Amino acid sequence: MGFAKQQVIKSRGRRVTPEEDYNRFAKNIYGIYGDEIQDIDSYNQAFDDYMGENLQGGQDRDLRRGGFEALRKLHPSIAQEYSDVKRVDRRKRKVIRPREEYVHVAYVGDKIVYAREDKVIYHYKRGIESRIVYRDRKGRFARKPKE
Amino acid sequence: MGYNGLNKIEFNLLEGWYCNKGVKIALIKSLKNRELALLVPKYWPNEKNRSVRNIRCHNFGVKENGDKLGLDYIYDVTGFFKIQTHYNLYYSLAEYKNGLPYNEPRLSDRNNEEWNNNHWKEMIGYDWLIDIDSPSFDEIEFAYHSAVNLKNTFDRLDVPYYLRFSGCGFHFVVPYKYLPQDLSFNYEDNNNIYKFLYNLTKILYNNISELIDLNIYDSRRVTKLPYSLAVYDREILVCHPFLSDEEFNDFKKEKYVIWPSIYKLRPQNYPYQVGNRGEHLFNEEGSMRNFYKNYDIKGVV
Repeated sequence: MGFAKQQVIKSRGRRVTPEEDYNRFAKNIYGIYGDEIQDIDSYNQAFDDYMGENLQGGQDRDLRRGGFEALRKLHPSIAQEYSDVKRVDRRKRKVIRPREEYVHVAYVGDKIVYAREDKVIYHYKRGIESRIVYRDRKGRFARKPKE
Repeated sequence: MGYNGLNKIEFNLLEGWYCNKGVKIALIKSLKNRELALLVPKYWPNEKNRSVRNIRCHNFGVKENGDKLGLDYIYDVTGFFKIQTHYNLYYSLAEYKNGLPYNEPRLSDRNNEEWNNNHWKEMIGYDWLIDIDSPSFDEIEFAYHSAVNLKNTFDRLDVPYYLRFSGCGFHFVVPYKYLPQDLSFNYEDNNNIYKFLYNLTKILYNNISELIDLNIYDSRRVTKLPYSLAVYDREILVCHPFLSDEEFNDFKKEKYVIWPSIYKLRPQNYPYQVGNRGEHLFNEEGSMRNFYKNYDIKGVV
């Protein structure tokens, strides 16, 4: 029997993840998000961001809780109870656009900003016209110098 | 595919530049009590492990105090002009009490662990670098406008600074003697200088330009050495310090581009004699006082 197989403990007919897997997961997630993980909420956000939609309900719950418990052992300053560990409602999360969208250099007043391309639709009496505009990270209109 | 390195003519050009006595003197001036680093450019990621850090280099001869440590020796031992991978030259923002310990530039013979852990105990200064990066060569005018705006702000507030063209952007460097002297060099302390300078830079990022680089503020940060060559995949440029307002106002990137030439091994476009140019500290009599007041930064004198 291989070493990995020995680590799998059967309990009530379900596979139980070995503790060292949780430890490794905790180290990985802390390595990526570091001090951003301050408490249970920031851990939940980091977890959702890290795992995406890859896990099913039971797997998600187990790894989320086990990972948090292991993380608390590694970094005792993260000290809330894991009964609070739950999936953050995706609908309530603030939409953060990926950095890659902001690739155009433009002006907002005198300030030079990175902006993204956006479309604005103007309604005129004679019809509808769509124009390309640029917006910075705060949503302000930015202007590009004429080429 | 991609970049295949420099050709023989370009290597000759590099050698002609770096072996010029005036250039060597200019390089050594900036390296006193600081670290020299030879870094492989980022568009050549497979060769990253060739980069060499923690080099002590205080003269351009072969020997220093009986040890082989001069610039010529470093050229020799790193194969600076012999290998197809070239280096860009960087120096540390940190200044050390007695410079770096004597070390062997050969990577295999070095053990830097102790220095990497304890170097901050030897630090006596750390300059504030504001790095304005252009996203590409075609958008360099945005970096220039950012530099103009920042320069106007610093001049209005009487902030002392050095100003350089870095090859693909601009560097403003405020010497440590104008910064608060009671901040810690230890990264683990709460009142460390890196966090303080990051916050100052963030203010400029929010108010002046998002081209200002916020990525690295730590004790090991290095920046391009003045009068060294910035080698890019398309061009080779001089990291050029500006000595006057007129020189900066007359900025044209083409002036600092060095094109390879078969007949001449000296720079073709660069119109300046490096010899005794040195660097110019703008607003030498000024201080950071107005800057702190203007941006409402409390707790510093």
